[in-house]
Amino acid sequence: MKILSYILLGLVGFTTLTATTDAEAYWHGYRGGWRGPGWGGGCWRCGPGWVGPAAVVAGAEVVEGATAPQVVVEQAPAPVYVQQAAPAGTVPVAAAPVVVAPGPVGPVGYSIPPIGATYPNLLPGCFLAPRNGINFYQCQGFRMRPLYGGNAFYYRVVPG
Amino acid sequence: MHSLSKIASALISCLILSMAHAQSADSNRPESPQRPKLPKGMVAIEPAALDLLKLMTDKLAAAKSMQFDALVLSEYPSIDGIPVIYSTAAKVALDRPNRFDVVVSGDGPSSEVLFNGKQLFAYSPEKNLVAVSNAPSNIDEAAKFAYDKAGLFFPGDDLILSNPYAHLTQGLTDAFIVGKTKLVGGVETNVIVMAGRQLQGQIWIGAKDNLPYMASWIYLGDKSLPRTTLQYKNWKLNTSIPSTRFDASRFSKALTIEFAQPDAPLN
Repeated sequence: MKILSYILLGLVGFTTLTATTDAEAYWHGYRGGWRGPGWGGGCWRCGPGWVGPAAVVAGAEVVEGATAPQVVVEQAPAPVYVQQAAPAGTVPVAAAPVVVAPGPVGPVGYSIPPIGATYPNLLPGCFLAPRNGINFYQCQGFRMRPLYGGNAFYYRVVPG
Repeated sequence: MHSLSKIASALISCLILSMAHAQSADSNRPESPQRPKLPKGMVAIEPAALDLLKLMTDKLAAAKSMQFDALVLSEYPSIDGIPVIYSTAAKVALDRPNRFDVVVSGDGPSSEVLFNGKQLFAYSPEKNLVAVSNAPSNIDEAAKFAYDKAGLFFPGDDLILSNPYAHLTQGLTDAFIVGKTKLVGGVETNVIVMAGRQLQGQIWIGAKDNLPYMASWIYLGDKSLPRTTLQYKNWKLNTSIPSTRFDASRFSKALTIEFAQPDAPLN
């Protein structure tokens, strides 16, 4: 019986301590993210917000609308490309940039995100690869298509 | 044995109480209150309030051109439900019958939305992307097209329509005049409360010039009841706007993309 009492006491003590700490911490900014990387850099605790389909965290991307776990991408140098300017006075239509240096060839350490996953920013290591007049970015093992919707620019993982 | 069960009961009660206390923060979240019935002789929609609204919307609808700046403070819940306020600034230019341009800046990426009478553009200077689509040839239909096609909306999009009165009073259930204030927009304004089933809030309309200087809305359809406050300033009506403002050639070096909602099928 003494053991049962100790267990009950321990359970109550632990629960009370945990709940109280969390409730108080709520107002003191204890929980991580309160002093996050800021609006422009991405406030992970803020949720989607208006910034885009998903918030951005340095070194990691939050996949919106996908059930797969977060995809952590190691930072890699961005590809270098130049773009052909459309003739002055014409309506811009699918300008065809020329890739000067496609992204890094070596591994950049990300797993392939699910088709339909969206990102507010282009993942590192992807380079522009237009196909049939549509602008895509070729990444390692998947393609991303830049789009505008929901009041924001975003990149969607597409088949191919 | 008996005393032990008493202790156990007391401890369990403490446990329940402490858990209830811990959850009290959640139970204090704002909820949409049930509005009481009005006293006899009081109408839900005061005609005088609608008159002020009509003066404002008639003035806006009659303008051949329109320029104004908007500052938007909009709440969006954090992942744990705390309302976070985001700020956005927009410079709006409208040239009837078929051109508008909105330059948006704020806490997030900046962007520009342009309708030149034939096509709709959304441009990101940071990403150097421009979404392009053919669009209907008038402002009302282009604005609707932008919303339907890409969920695109912008501060003041309800004020640039050909009949903003019809738009603002659609579904209206309550409207009344609060009074006047000199503390908003640097001018004296009439303060009007408006409410519908999906939206309720206030609008501050210049007492002399009948222009809107602020509006604040709560979205009742969203369970977090987010509030958006828009401050309008630097109004210019019927002034000449340089045609370069509506010239899409400045986007010509951007990578062309399409409009598509994040969950929409692609071509």
